[in-house]
Amino acid sequence: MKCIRQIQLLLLLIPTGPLSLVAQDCVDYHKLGDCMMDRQKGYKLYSQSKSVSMDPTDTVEFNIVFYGQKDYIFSFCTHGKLYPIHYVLLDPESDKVLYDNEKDRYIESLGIGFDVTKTLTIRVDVVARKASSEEIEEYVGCLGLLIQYRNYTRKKVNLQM
Amino acid sequence: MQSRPYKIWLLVLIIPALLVGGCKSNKGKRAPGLLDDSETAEIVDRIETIKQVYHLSPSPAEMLSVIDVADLSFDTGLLNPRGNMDNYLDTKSRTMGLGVYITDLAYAALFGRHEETLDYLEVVRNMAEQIRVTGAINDELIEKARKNVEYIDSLFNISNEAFINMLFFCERNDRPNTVVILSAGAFVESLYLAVNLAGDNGQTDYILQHLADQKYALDNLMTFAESMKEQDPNVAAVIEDMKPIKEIYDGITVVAGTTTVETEKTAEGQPKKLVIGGGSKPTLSKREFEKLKKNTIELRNKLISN
Repeated sequence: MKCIRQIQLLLLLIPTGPLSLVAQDCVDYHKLGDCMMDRQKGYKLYSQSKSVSMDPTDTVEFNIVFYGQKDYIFSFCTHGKLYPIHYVLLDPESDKVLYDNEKDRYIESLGIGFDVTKTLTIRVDVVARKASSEEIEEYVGCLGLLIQYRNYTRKKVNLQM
Repeated sequence: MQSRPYKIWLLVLIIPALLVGGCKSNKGKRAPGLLDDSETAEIVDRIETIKQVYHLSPSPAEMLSVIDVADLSFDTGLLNPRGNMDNYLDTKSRTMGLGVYITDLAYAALFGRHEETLDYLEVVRNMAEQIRVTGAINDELIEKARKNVEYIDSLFNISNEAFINMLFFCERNDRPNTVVILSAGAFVESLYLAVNLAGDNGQTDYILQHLADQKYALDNLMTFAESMKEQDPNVAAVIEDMKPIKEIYDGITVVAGTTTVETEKTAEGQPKKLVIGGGSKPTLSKREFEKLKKNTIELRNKLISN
């Protein structure tokens, strides 16, 4: 009996805070976090939406295939301390920067129409303006990229070869 | 016996220490506050130290949905018969088989074929359970499909949701190798369906361009697979299987072009919008198409017959 009591005490004493950190699951963060506030009627969720865990010293790159003749909406989200989110769209063939959200005060949502099918590299880091320097070294949070799409509503461009 | 209480108390001390050591600690932090511009610049400079790269591929439903099915007819003969499910006995053939079946599910859903959609949803659930990808297709999803048989869009979303649930499960359970093999099976089946749909139906050129565009999806898939091949011999075997298809895509003409970016006006409350056009464009000649069709059919038939 004494032994059982001691085991019960042991379970009570194990701190639960660190456990929640260990078990942090970012897999579907884009379907739970702020990103969902951008959900638009008439748009479908793109399967290449992605969430990852990252800290302020990380840079993450997503190589994503976008089909032509479709409109997409990109929505980025993270935890409060990691904002603002900085992302750059790169043409993987030329490594040319096509867009940098720093010039638009780090906007978190962006619509993009693709005339033709294309792969884009989306390079993301978090500026973490509200984080202290220690937190920048140590804080790990989730970053979500929700992508929605719909077929072009405007006139189709000629795709004939 | 006397030492047991001592051991238990030792555990009390050690377990929390291990837990704290296994994650990021917040000790000694200063109160958070806004940083000034120079501090922000310093942070930005330090970024780019670590780079995680993810190569992502579209779902089978998304790959197929590019094809306008309005002028096409559904062909049951293109589906992998449900009975073949019992022939897949090893992990690789079961996982690739699951990729094939989930694509057939998407194909049936895209054409609004109620019966086939429900049948293949059940097959996909069974196959997923065989490879221990559990919970991706639950009773709720099947019930939702039953209730929405009238709505093509809903069936499409359900088939897509099933695939995404599988990706989530694999990611949570650290099984990227399963994602590679599953995606390879799905890729081959969607190519198989597309090459068979590219008949004499007025959409041939459009489907040919769609097939050529799959170069991007294949490149991403193979890059992902290459990063996994050392860890799983099944992934290495899949890369070998896919080699003839990859070689065809590596050999096709890519017409060079400059990517253009324009800003489009949007309504108030809508996000800023860019339109990306131009850039290089892969093209598939009739001869390359015939070669791709032959190799795809061969590979797909090998996969489904195991």
